[in-house]
Amino acid sequence: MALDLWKENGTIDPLQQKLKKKFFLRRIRINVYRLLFGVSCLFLWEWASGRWIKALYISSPTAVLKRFAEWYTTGFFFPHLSATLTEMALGFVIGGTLAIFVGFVFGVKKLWADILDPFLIAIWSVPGIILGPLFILYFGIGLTPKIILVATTVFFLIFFNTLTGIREVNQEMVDSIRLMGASRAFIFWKVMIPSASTWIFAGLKNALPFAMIGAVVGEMFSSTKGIGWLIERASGVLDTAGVFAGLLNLLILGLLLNEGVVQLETHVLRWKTKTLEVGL
Amino acid sequence: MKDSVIEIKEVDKRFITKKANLLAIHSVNLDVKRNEFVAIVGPSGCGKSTLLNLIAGLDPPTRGEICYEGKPVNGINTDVGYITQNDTILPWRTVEENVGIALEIRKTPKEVMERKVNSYIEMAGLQGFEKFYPSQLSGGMRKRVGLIRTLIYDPGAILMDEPFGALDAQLKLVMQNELLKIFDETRKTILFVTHDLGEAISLADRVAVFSGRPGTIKKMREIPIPRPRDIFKIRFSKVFGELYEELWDSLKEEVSKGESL
Repeated sequence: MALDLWKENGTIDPLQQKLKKKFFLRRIRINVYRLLFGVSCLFLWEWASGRWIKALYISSPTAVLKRFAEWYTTGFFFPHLSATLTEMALGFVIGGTLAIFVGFVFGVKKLWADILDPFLIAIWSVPGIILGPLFILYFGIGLTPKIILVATTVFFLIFFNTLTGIREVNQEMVDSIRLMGASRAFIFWKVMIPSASTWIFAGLKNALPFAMIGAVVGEMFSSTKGIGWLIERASGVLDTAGVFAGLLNLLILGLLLNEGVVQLETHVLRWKTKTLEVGL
Repeated sequence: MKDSVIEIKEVDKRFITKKANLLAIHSVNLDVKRNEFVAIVGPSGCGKSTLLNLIAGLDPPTRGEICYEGKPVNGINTDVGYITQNDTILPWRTVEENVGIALEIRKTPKEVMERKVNSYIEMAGLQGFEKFYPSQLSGGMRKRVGLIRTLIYDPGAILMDEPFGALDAQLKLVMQNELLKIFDETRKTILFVTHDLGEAISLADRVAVFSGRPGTIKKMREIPIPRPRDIFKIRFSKVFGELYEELWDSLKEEVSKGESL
């Protein structure tokens, strides 16, 4: 973008066009090779299944796709998808909101943060997933324990990032705005939050896969529906195709969610110019 | 006799940390009159910026008193504009949003704000860049944004801390020239800190030479070069040369003192 805008009189630079073309061709090449790589992996899998390794162990792409299609065409899959998505979404929103709020408070109240620092680090170093069985004990086998599990897993990732974001706020910048007569609220909303947003977004992006892990693992512990429950049940009856079909769904879900956050990020953080990453 | 805007009386500033006890500035006395341009020149690390922070109320003096418009400064002094060496324009705001921020804080009506922002952007030669983010601008353009976002709300006095320090030699001259033009037109009260003696003489009505640590005013000199000044010509005038020599004599001991530290 910087290159696009650099010419001050608004004319198009031939050098710039050349660069754009080169960048475009490079993208195409990368995508073609990616596709080739992916397809060959699938072929190898299909071929090996039943020849080198028993189909019971690794199933095969066609069997997985068939199962995948069945789930969608019969509508069997949708209640499970919606259960997992609900757990993830609610857990992510609750955990994330809390994390950002507490992160801001601790970022501003340095004394509190210093007092609680060792405790936070200690809790953080315990994998939150381990709390799964406890939450099930407290809240039963419905959606609630999974939502709480997701919230606890994402909380720390987002919290620590928010805290760092607030601490990284340029004090000189804050002072310069304070000298203009800005209120505390103005400083908070118009300086601190945008300044920390880079860090917060990085935290949200990191936390997203963990939200999925929290929900699915929670379902595997004990539940009556959800993608995790599907996978758990399939593996219980040695239905490898079912396990892989479940994994395929998680994979697609993960990619879609990540893309969503990236889109949101590029919009909110559009002031961070990215230059074309290729030389002439 | 013009009245004083900034009065600094016998001011000391001491920084005490775990490892050091540092007297940054010592018994500084300085009056800045209304519509006067005063430059402070001194070696790096002599406490020039510390003095500006005290006037802005970001830090209290250890001893002595600082008055602004006759009243002692106590806490953030929102009557002064402060332009620091580092970029402090907000990177997530476009040029026009940055320029208008002080008016936004003052809840200026939208039409008035837009008109003012546009006229200042024009004055700084930034037309066409209104919607650009700072990361898309050159260093000189960012400096100009920083300058006009302070000028736009017309603060009673402007503190400048080596505002052109990070620029290359040519751009620095251009910016100095623009500042001179703005000063001639608006006659603000300006206290300008620099380590560049030539810059101090070209711009100011009076130049104060600061000594090395602890910083104190060693010499005060009127600059009798008439305004309006042409930054590109005055450097070759006789009076500029004489002033430079005279002030350099007093400054060089301090610079070499700093080297030996």
